[in-house]
Amino acid sequence: MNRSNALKPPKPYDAPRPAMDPGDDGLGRHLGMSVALHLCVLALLTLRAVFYPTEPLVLERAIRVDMVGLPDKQAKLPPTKAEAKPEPKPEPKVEPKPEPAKPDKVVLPDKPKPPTDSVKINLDKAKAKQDSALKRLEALRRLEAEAAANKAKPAAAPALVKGNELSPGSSLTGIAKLENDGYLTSIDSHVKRHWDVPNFLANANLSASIVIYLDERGNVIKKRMVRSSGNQIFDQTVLSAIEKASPFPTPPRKLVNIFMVDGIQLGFPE
Amino acid sequence: MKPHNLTAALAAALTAGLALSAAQPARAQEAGGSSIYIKVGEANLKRSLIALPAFQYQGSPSAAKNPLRVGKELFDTVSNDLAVSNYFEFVNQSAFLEDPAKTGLRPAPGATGGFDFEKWKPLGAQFLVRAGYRILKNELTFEAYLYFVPQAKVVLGKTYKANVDDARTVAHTFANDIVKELTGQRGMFLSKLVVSRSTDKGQKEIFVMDWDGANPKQVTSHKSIAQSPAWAPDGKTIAYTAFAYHAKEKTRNADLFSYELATGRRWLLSFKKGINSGAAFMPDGKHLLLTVSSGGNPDIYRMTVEGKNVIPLTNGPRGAMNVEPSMSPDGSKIAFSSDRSGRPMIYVMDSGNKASPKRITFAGEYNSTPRWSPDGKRIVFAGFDKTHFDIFTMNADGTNMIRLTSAKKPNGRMADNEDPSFSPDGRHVLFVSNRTGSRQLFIVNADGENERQITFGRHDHFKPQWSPFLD
Repeated sequence: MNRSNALKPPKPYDAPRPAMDPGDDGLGRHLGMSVALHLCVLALLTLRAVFYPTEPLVLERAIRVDMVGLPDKQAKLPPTKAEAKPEPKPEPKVEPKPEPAKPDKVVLPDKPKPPTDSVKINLDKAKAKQDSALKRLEALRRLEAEAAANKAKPAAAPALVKGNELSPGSSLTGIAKLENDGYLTSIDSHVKRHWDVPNFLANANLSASIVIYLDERGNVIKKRMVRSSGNQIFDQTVLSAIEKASPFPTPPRKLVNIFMVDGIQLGFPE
Repeated sequence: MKPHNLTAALAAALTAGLALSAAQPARAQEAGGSSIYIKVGEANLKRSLIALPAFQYQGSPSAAKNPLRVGKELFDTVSNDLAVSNYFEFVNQSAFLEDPAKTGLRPAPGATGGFDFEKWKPLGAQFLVRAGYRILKNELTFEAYLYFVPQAKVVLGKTYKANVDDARTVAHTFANDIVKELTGQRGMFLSKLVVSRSTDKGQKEIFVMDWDGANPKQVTSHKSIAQSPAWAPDGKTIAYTAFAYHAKEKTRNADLFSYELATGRRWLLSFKKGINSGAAFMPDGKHLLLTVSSGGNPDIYRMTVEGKNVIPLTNGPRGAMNVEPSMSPDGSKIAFSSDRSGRPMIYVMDSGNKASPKRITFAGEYNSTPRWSPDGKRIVFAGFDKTHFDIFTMNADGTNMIRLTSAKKPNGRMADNEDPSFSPDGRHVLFVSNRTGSRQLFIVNADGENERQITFGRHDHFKPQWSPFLD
């Protein structure tokens, strides 16, 4: 037993241990070496990363996949209905004569109240009002001017009638304006219904414009192409659309003169 | 007070200026226009009504062998072309108010014995075709006019001369001229198809035929399986794959050949062990894409039309196949099918960037054979959905997918519609359908309407390709 004890390896194993310990020196050296080695490896890796860039690892987000069926065959593509676009109204929205009041308002707040804040606010408001008023005035003036210019040529009589109105602005307020808007919309859809273009011109990007003159029953008295598309077949579609669309809806009584004298310009398609 | 007033005045001036300038566009109407302006909006697009009376034979009855047969061929060809164009509807011949056989080809006031426009207006006809032909020995002279009836004007008037045997070509040329005159675009009526067709001996050979299925001509005789033909961009050469015999190995291999149609000369382009197939020419005409399976899984390669500089464009992922390449018309993108996601789907990659494949189809069980439209905006493909294949088109990014076909076989089961290819004008799609029981060629408008069968008979057709413009 003793022998075997004496022969047991623990002693020789124990022996090196103290030898390794001899002091802080050994530990420090090994630590230093370890640190140096680590640094070396790090440096190598860094260098490699810098000089030999590897393929970037692409991490993609997981995607939820729904199983989708293929679309069915459409028996027939639904005819594309172009919506009736609200046509631009040359008539401005005219509220009952705000114009004369405005200059006063602009001037008034200035006088009694020096505080700049309120003045600013008022000024802004005033500006806005003036802005809209000016636009209205401008639009009305333009309407009148154009109407007058157009009228001057053909006949004197309608000019007289129009001149007898109190003011063109007031003629397009309230019910008259509603009538007008409604009527223009009805003309739009009325013409559109009759306008067929050969499908071989589908991508030709052509457009033409025509002015029509209506009598009080909506019959076309006269039509005049003011802008040709340059394609006789396309132009013909426009002319025959007008032909087929006549008679037009009866114009509102108040507007008969405008339509008879100034006419309505139609843009195909715009 | 003064400064404020000044500001106000300034503002007023400014806004007045604005108001004026804002009014400018509205005033920028045509001189003489009205102040009330209505935009009518988009028109209703309609097919035009056209009157197409029989063509007059103007020669003496004895001058040619069978003039009426030629006349019928001319008429049938023009009539079919105009019908397929989808631009026209025909006036019923029994509604005609004058006998076109007894009036001249030109309108009456100018030409004696001419026809009368007033007889055509009440029919609502927008266009009138009047044509006549003469045959002298073997020369066919075809004189044809297209009139715009509402304005009593001639739109097109031409005289064509050709060999009698080329009557169909003459007719197609006239139809092309009509389309060009009316739309400004080229007509596709002189284009052709190339297709792999079964023979009586159970083999498949490559055939070239007119787009309407007429004049089929066998161009290969490998007495083997020849398949997957493709047109070069100039339409003078085709490439195809045939199982050719390799004497050394005593085996057959799917090799890639090119073939010059005019001369009948043939070149062996690629003969790597395995598949060398699915050729698609690049727009430059100097390179082509093909599928090669020598590396195990089929991948897409690019090489010159001489078979040199073979470069792999796809590689894996492991075990995945990448096949059926098709290059966009501008050469920037390649569409192909791949099963890298499990089942075959359509992918698009940049032609210069291997790492960019992007899956664009997610619907259905199996999508294959992508082909670009000539304008590069759409891709047509065959999609398998539950029981059968159908033809679909979609935008090049995979959106806005529509189904073009849906048909039943005589036994009531759904038919397969496969192997699509766009016409050179992009308005039609060619495909193979087994709805009649055998695999025949069909065409359909690019919107899925106006489907027509163009080959008949007992032979099966595989992988047809519509040629580029050939005229």
